[in-house]
Amino acid sequence: MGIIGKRVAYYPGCSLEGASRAYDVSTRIVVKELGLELDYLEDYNCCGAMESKNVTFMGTMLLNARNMSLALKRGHKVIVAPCNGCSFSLQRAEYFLETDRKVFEKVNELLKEGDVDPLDEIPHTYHLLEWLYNEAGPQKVKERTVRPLKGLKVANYYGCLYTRPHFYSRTYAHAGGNGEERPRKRETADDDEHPFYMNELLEAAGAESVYFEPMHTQCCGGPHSLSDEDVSKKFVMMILQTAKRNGANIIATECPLCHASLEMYRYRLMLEGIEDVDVPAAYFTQLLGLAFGYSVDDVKLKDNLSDPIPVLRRLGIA
Amino acid sequence: MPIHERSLIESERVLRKERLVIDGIDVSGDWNLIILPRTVEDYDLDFAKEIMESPDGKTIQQCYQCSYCTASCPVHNYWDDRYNPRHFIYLARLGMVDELQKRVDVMWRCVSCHKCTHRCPKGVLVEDVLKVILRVMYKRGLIGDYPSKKFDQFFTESVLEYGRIEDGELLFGWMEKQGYKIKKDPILRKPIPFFSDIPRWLKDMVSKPIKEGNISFIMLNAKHMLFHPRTKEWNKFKQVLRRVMEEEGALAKGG
Amino acid sequence: MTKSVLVIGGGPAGLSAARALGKLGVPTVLVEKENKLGGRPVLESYHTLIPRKMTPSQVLGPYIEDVQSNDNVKVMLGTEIETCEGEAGDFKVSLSNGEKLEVSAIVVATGFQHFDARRKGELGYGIYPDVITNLQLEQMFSKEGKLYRPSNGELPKRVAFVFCVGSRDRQLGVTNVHCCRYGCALSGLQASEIREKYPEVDVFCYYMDVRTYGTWEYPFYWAPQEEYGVRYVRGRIAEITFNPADGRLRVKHEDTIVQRPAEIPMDLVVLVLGMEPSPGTKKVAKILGLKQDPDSRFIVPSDESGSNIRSNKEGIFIAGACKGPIDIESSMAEGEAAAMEVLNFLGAKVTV
Ligand SMILES: Cc1cc2nc3c(=O)[nH]c(=O)nc-3n(C[C@H](O)[C@H](O)[C@H](O)COP(=O)(O)OP(=O)(O)OC[C@H]3O[C@@H](n4cnc5c(N)ncnc54)[C@H](O)[C@@H]3O)c2cc1C
Ligand code: SF4
Ligand code: SF4
Ligand code: SF4
Repeated sequence: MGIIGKRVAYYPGCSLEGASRAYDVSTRIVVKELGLELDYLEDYNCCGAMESKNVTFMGTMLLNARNMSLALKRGHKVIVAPCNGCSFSLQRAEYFLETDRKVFEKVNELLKEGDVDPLDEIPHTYHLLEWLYNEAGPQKVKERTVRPLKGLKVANYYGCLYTRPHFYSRTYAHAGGNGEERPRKRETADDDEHPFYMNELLEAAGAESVYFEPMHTQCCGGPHSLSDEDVSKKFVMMILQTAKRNGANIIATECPLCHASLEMYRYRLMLEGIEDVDVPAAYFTQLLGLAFGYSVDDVKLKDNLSDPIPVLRRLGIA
Repeated sequence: MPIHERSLIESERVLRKERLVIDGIDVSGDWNLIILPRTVEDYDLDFAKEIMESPDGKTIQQCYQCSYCTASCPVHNYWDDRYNPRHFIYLARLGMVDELQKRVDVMWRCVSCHKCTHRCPKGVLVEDVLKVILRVMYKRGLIGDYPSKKFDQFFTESVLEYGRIEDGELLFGWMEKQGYKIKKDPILRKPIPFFSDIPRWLKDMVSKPIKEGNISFIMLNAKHMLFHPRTKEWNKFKQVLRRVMEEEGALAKGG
Repeated sequence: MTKSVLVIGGGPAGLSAARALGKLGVPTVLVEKENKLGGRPVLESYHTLIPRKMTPSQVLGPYIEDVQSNDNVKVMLGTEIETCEGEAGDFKVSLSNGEKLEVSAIVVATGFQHFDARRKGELGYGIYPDVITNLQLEQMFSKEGKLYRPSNGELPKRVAFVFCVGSRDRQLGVTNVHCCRYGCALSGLQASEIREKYPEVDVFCYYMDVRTYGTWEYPFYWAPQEEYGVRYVRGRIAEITFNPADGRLRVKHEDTIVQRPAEIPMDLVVLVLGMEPSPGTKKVAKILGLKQDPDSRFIVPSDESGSNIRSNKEGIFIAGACKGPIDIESSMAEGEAAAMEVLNFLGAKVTV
């Protein structure tokens, strides 16, 4: 542990400064409590999420390269992003910049034209969860816990892009062609098919994890949650029903997009009278915040559309 | 004349003409049915070449058709088995464009979960390749404005404009594009959710913070809707971005 | 000529080299890391070997006996080499037991190790007890003489073989892109054995393509289907899950011929393991300065020679699975070829 760095560049992403501010606020609380430090990436831009890459390759590279450049300028070689989409986008750009010389050169040329410092190296991006697990870990969480999450049965939902795909997330950096670079296993990475970091952190805070495979990394419909309602509805239904039927009283999330999608379709499914979908959702950082003694308002639990407060109250956690 | 089993002939291969003249002889009547051949007569290899020209498309040539991707794909498994990344890659690589076109109704349904890319034993960047296939088909007019395309475009152009996106604008802007009537204030032309004709779930969602008096949340989102969050040092960069997108043909058609 | 020849590794390749050298009157030292000769087939108790359907002791027993009874061959078990100095014709080798040797030539036959199936997390090995490896299946046959599901000890109704686990796979990095060569054929044999002994058990082989090259096509691809009724399905298994409702596994794949998703219930799933260079191979390559494939780390022959037995170091020869996936017969042939190359090399020295 301790290989990523205690003080890192913080890329919250657009969502965390808007509708998902609860994730941002609770993240800052947890990070402070665990003795780590986030340096806010002033004036960043949107990573392009899962959308711009379908429209423009080079444009998407540029969006992410600009953010990398900002991080370097502030002296950071590590960026931490709490959103699966953001960390994915930065890692994807990292991949192409690193494996395709031509792309790298072109991007730097264009950055200069746009009055942005070119990249002399490529910073690495980590998801918030991976950073917390490696730099603080379950033991620290246990020490800080003053109000154990007793009775909380959690379905830990990791979503798609926290563990996927290998090549972008540097768990294996080699995609094809002979003589390209050696594989690099990212030592700090969670298990790619059976992730457990969130389980362990919340368990350290006194919660109990319910069996949630394979829905723990099953897609919620993600980027199509607005453009393909049929598919999203079905996927969210599968996720929620599995959680409920496996005994969960809450779903813990670590991505604002997954979280929004789960909450939105949960409500729509309930309106349609679908059974076993009423499990509420909370960011894992909100739950850790509660365990560390913070209040419902401190971690902005009222922002959650699925309203987990009654469940938490009943258990005496909130 | 061979006798055909009707069930083996797709309807698009059956042509029926009012009047049919062959070699100057009028053969209309019982002979006016033409069945186009089923044989694949050639490949459109330029199609595959164009895919490989994009850095995110070049791994298409690594595929060995094992189908780890399709087997892992939630859209194939839980939505429609006609959505089949392995098969799309096969068709695209050989340039069997007509076969791809038969599947345009499902081809866009990928939810970008990246299970395919993650697991592909050959290191094909499957998700990326599929998006490039769609991009090239779109450019060539082989696929129309599919729903996620509209959303991607809408999203990307908002990023281009402001450097940031704003959840409210995205949601209501999208609902408006879907044909819902969104009421706007007369001065700033910003959406007013409560007077809009939107589905019940959405109305309930936006009224929850009000009912609960979650003032700080309402203030924050209202502020964002009125003053779109922006990246400050954006203008110069935006020009470069716009030019790059123009060169790639990535800006909205006609706009 | 008094200096001996050193053979490292007592598997099929090393045994054959030492046996041939001994018979030809060359003083030979055979060092083997484990306490037993015979290599993986003996150490891991393989049951029946492809292609001649004989047991390891039928195939390798006579070789082991020849080596042990030949006065020219000194066998040192539980021994490895630690360092090596000098050059061709005059190598000074120190061993893990403290002894020092002076040898004129070296044959490296340090073999392979099995792929660790835990690295393919989606296949559930190490999580679901009824997902086993083909090596465990061999041992079930050889040690217990019966087929059963580890979860409850009962005879499975259905068995699936999953080909190419840890082979032909870039997701593991660049190290495992090769084909294991024996897997398809061995599965054909194991599947036939199951069907022969338990005709009520249905057996399925999930493949991308079936590689039973040369004369192996009939006995290990056609016969399993024609004579034993093994079913072959084209589609690589992408995920194995467990269904608590019926206590059975599900093998998830696309049936690429039907083009439909499939999640078929199975009672026992056998993973067909790939081969990787053994730790001993990597270690010895380093000590001796042998050229390795940069990706897989298998030892590769010298570029200058047409022979695939000569290493990049003069006086050092390489045979068997330390060079890549290979079957037993070929390993043995390579061991013998290495003995010939050694003689050739020693002879050349004498005439100079
Ligand atoms: C599950 C399975 C089933 C198989 N079944 C068959 C089959 O039925 N038929 C067939 O033809 N092939 C089969 N094979 C392949 C077969 O096992 C190999 O072809 C064969 O074992 C290779 O022989 P080898 O001597 O090169 O290597 P190995 O068998 O690996 O022997 C190498 C020897 O070197 C020793 N050694 C390693 N490092 C050192 C060191 N540093 N110092 C000293 N000694 C060392 C090892 O302990 C070992 O005894 C199978 C493989 C597997 C994985
Ligand atoms: S998993 Fe990869 S190699 Fe296999 S069919 Fe899909 S794209 Fe092709
Ligand atoms: S990224 Fe798209 S194609 Fe790939 S598995 Fe997910 S839905 Fe299927
Ligand atoms: S021999 Fe068969 S099982 Fe082994 S890697 Fe080759 S194709 Fe796969």
